[in-house]
Amino acid sequence: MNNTFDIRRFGNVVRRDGMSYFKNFGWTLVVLWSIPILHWIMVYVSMETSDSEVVARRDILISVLRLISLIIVPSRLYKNVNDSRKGMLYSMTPASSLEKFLSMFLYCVIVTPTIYMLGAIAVDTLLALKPGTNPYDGFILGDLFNHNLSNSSVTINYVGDRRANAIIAEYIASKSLWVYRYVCILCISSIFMFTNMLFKKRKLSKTIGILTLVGIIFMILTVVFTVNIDYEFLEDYTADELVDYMIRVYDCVFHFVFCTAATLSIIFLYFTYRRIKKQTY
Amino acid sequence: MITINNLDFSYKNVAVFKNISLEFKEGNVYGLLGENGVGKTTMLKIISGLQFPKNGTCVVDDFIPSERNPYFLQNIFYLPEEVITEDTTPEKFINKIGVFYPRYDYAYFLNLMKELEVDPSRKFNAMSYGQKKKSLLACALSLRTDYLLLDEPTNGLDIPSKALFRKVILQHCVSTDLADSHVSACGQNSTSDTCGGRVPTIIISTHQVKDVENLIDPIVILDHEEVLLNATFEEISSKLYFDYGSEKSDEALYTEMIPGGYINVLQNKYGMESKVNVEALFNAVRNNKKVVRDIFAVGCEQ
Repeated sequence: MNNTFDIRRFGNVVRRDGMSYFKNFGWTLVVLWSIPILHWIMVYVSMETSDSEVVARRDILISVLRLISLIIVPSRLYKNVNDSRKGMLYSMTPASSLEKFLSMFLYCVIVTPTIYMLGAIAVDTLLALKPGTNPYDGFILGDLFNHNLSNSSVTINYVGDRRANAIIAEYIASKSLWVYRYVCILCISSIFMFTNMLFKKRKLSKTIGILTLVGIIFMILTVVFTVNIDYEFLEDYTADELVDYMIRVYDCVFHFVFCTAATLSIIFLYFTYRRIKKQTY
Repeated sequence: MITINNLDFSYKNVAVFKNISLEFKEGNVYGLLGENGVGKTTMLKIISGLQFPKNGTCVVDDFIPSERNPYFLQNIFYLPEEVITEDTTPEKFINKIGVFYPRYDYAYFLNLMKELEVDPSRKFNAMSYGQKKKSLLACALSLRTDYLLLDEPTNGLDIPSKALFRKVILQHCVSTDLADSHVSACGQNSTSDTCGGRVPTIIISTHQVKDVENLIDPIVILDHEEVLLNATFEEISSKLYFDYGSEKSDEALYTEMIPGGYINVLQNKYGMESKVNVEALFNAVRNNKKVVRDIFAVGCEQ
């Protein structure tokens, strides 16, 4: 057996956390899941007349509920881990810090989103099996690994030119944005995992407050930065040059957000692990 | 064995231990005594890896507790003073945590619960404070760890329960079939490293010395930032004489009125035998720190 990782010990930690997952989070899952299921049932009943946009909305609904779950899960499952009295048993559990961290990661980052995806696929499949024409075309299933903005009903006017807009939209659609989506999920989870270990009380409100503050500061900085840019040079651009420019801007923003989210995820996950290892009681 | 060397510990700017050295030898039931706030709980937390020393070392069987090595953790259990229970029953609770301990013995747990007169299938929430405390004690003992750290275990127990507590602790220590139950609990695939059961070392931190007087030996007395005494009853009675008489002694390190006379704690200059009174000892040590340290001059090297 290894000091750092042993599969049997890890299995025991996962089993213990799993029991806690369904005990502490089970009812929340049921309540949160009842919302999309209700939506599905309503659409199912009125399917003949339903608009495909109504069906498409379930993707947004699932995303919102998944986000809520990702935010709640760490504080529900591991609420007492850093409590000076209640957290002692967790710390004394004969398993390595890595095993405890990986189990936490498993439930916060992998199990919760997976439950939403599998649930959504299951309900979609059931609805798609209904005979006759219906708007369930495996959208969510396809969306899991092929997310792009062309799926959205929103028509974005990038440059004012219809053809150029189409080229830009096609370029963006060609990007594998599902990776971006999962990195964002990882980033959100890692932030809430870390703050769950950092704060002892009012974990969620403190985290949301800090994130809001950071968001506001970032927006102010962005506005200050972009207001001072002289856009007159764009007037001399041809449509093709404008498309090139917009694609470059898009790539910059995409890479910045992707790299920031990935870096933040690694940093927060590392510090979560450190907190598990170094937490005193 | 637990070896503490030149250990410093403080909570922010409040020093708890300054350069203390101490040893806890295997197979004993130590009584860890001291006034409020001298660091008894902190000492237990440092040994169990829940607090980290600022300087110096604490080593338990070649393990450094602050590293929280899984093999170290499966051989030690700390039962805090304050009862914190989950919304579950003792039997579910112990089955949940027992899987992590190679020598955990469910049959032994059931026996202990029976002996302590608590229903293992009753929810913690429906139990009295004393019942919860007894349930957790049964849980802690059934894990069969080599080191068991009990923080104020008799607080909140009624008189019969205190007697039961002493009984189960003594039984636990002298249990002759301990080694057999270790092997059976570990199964065939276990290695000798994880199954080498030993007579447990128990450290009981308490204010209620009378509750554990016939249980503990040796005794460790902590004072603010230092160790005043670490000695067995044999050593204590060889160096101090407990005189139960009708008169006060002028030479006594400590005198206390008891029904029918006085108890005088004197330096045992003539090698006389006497029964150690832990409460009187504690007060004698507390009031004559330097003298007692000189008398013993071993055990607590400052």
